[in-house]
Amino acid sequence: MSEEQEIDGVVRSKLIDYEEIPSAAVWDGVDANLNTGRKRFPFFYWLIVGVLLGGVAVSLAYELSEKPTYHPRQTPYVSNDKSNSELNDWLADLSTKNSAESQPSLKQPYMEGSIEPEPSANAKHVETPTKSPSQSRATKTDLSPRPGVSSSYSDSENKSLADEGNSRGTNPIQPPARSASIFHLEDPSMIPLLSLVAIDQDISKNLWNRSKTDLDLRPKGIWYIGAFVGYDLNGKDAEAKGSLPAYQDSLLVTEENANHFGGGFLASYRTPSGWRFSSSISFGKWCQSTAYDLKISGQYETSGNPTGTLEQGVITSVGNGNIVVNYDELDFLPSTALSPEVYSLSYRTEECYSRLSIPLEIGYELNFGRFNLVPELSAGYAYFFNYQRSETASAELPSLRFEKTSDFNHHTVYLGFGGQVEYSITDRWSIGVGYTNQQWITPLFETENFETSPRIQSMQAQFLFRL
Amino acid sequence: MVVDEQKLVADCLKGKRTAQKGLYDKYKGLMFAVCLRYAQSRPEAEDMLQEGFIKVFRDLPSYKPTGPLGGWIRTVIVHTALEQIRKKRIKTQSSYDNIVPLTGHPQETPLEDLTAKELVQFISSLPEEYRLVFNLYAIEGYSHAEIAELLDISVANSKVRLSRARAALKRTVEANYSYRSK
Repeated sequence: MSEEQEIDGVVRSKLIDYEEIPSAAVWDGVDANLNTGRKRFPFFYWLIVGVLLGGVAVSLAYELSEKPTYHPRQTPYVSNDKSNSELNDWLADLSTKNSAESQPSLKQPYMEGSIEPEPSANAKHVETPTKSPSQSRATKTDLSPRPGVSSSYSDSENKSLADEGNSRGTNPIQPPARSASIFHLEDPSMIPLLSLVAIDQDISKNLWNRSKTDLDLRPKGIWYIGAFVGYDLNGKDAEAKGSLPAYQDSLLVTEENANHFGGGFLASYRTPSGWRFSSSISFGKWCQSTAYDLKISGQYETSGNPTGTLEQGVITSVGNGNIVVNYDELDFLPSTALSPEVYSLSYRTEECYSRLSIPLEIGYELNFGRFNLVPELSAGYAYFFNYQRSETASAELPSLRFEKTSDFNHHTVYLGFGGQVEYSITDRWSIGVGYTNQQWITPLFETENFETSPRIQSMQAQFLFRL
Repeated sequence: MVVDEQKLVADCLKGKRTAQKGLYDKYKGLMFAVCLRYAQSRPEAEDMLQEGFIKVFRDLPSYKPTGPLGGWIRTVIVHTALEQIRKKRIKTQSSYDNIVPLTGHPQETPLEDLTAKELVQFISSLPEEYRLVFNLYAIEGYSHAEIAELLDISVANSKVRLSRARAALKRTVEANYSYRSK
């Protein structure tokens, strides 16, 4: 052995298995580069979280905006005794002063029409000799109870208000000792009572008219908004059901590990008779692996370029032991796996794409206490995009692996049916689970001999908020 | 290829991060030592390693499991190292042009006494054109024809560089060894 070979041998033996640990920054750099291809996945998770939080925020904002802003001192007052002009004048005067000084517009919505007390010739307006601020304020807040006058305020409130007026040295208003009802028209519980008490007055009619818009005393439609997350139960039924007509017995197509996860917003309107019309918008990510197992035998021919490396071809005809492969068409079989030496082929695809879906649904609400059962029919539009496809084939030839990424934007329309069960947690909030079965009208893949009839079955969890 | 390695590769192909990290951890030490022999400094070697593993994961779908995975990764790393060097090639006028062929007896060389780490340091201190040929021929096992194609030089040039690389290494080691022995 020469000295050169000796040196090489020594160096090789020392270094061939020598290891040295790099700094952690190296993996960080590698990982950061790899992560660029994974950034789409977190987007969908964040989307779902955003959908849920957005729905909750909208609902809470709506609920908070409904808090009553009524102030007791600004309440207009009416009497149930129209014949008592003195009392009515006093109440009218009090309401006018309060409205003019504190909230001029308040009187219009509540005291329009016959509610407005008519001016009386013997009306006694309470006026103070001077218009000092303290006196004006005393007049406005002087609501000390009068004999025979009932009030919606509590005794303690009346007392405190009276004390406040007296302590400032002003004279409380002295209406006649007659019965009167003071109430707040926004309080729904008062409406039936008032209708009975003031049955002989126009006030009752006006209050009832207002109740048509303020209260749910008559059947009316209800709007819901909500958000949902869903998971497709694709299994073996959802995608790529097809076969080569001439070789049905030899090709087995199996869907494996399909999953789709997404979420979205929904809006729904329920008619008084119980029909429910809904629409939603959802985004999701769908990934699926599919297995194609082809077993063939005999002699066959190919056309096109059988030596093409990773071209794809489609079997266009089979007969007399010959298989003709047309490489000009795209399909799911890699041409290299169809060389004459191949007698069996196992071919796998991994597909992922994003889906935007907008369905329109009609259903009927069946109510069982706190539970609603809503069977539905649907029709919708779906847009598939961001398609990625990875293919692996193995045959009797040396194993073949390759990856192919394609642009794939596809529109389809689908019909479906399903239903959901909802449970009312409160008057406004409800949760539910639903099932839908969608059949696409336009197939996802279509070639001369092979087409798919995709069907999606999915489950959703949702929450609804009644507006 | 062992079953675990097959699964590791399959999971990497599916984009599973844990599998990618597992693959990296399994080969990082070995491949970093390779990079150290091609680079002139440790940071440069880390750059090579990082770039190399990015290519490993990018090209993993094209890996055919007919040979050992480690060998394939080593090939990718070596090619990446060469590419990196080519990009930042600095013309170094070698001071070893007049190096004479080796003489003497093998047992006189102190190479046997060196640790692997020391040997790597000596190799990385060689001029670039010698270092590359020596690494590729003596350690990676490439032929002169392959080296000539990789480095875009003639076969004869490859042989000359290898011979000079050996002499330079020996001289460097001996100088250091004698210095250390004193």
